[in-house]
Amino acid sequence: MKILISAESDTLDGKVSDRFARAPYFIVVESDNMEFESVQNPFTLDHGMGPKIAKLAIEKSVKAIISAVPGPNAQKILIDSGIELYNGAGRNIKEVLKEYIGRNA
Amino acid sequence: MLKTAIISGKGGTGKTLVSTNLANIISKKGIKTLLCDADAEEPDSGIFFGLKKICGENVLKKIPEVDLKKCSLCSLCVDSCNFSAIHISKSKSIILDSLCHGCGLCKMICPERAITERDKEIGVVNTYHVNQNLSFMEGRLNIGEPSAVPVIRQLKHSITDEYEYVLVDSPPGCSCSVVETLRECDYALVITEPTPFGMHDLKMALTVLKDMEIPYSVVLNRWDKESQPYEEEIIKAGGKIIMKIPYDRRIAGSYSHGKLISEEYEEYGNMFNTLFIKLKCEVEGI
Repeated sequence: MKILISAESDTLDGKVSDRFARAPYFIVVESDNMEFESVQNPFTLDHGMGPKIAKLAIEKSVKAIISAVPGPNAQKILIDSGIELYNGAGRNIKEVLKEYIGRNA
Repeated sequence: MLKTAIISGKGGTGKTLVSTNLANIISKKGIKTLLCDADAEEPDSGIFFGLKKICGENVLKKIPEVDLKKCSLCSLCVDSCNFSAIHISKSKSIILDSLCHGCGLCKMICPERAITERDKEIGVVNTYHVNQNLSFMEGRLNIGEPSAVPVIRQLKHSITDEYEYVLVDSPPGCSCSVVETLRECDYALVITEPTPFGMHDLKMALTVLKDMEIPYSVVLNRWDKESQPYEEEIIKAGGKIIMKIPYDRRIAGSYSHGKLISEEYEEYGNMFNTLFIKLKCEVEGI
């Protein structure tokens, strides 16, 4: 399944950002084979960032998001879309991924 | 009617001090004066006057509502919203009131005519009688509402032609609410203080004024002997200093008791009188 990670850098070696929508990078990883693509946050200064990133997650058909806790606006949309939220703020991405996937196995 | 905005850039430099005292001095000359408090997030100019409320008008924002039976899930509304305020899934529509600017684009763009609008109260515009020559109006934004712009807009639209002089006490900063305050004003007084922060935000405020082509002059508050370098910096930034208010403990004293320094102390009464005369010359281009 696809997981979106709010990340501090563009690889899985970095840390999960401590912000949901204003993270510098977003990584979409396929948990079956750990293949990933990363995008630089295109909107860091916009208003309504949370909902924009929620929309991005829906467009990428992710099933879960690993990040800091999103704000109430983004949460409303994500909960409605059935995307699971997993708090990994500030932690090592690989470690949190392993933990999350292990929990769901 | 002449409309002068009192703006600052940095907060806490003395916009309300200047607005309230200047309004007091102008009205005492027998000139029909209106003081407007456009700092809708925390309007407090009224504290300095004995007020009799005349009326209060609700400020409404248009919030979209989606009829999912008509919706074809084309997502044109979602894609066109600049503020990500509308989201639609098969089961429901999510309207994020706090992000919605009430622009009506989603309703306009919907090919299925599935979007209607409802009114949401976001604040109020209050009008008060102070005395024969002075009236007071304030915009008051409801707690939790993110944008004061619609409240300020309605406040300014509610100004009637009966006044000769209108002073608009602005919110701090240089954002949308300040731009809305400045719109259609003939002149601006920019209040600053002799600190690096004061200078930095003064320059930002001057950029806005130059952009909007509104003539202005600068009031330097909390002025003392050591302010000389700041005075030079203001002039260099293109600001003409029209008034210097000294760093005087008595001002803080009066202010904290909700009293007007132009009433309490003759010297300050004279100082605001001079400010009015200079302002009049500036505005009338003499």
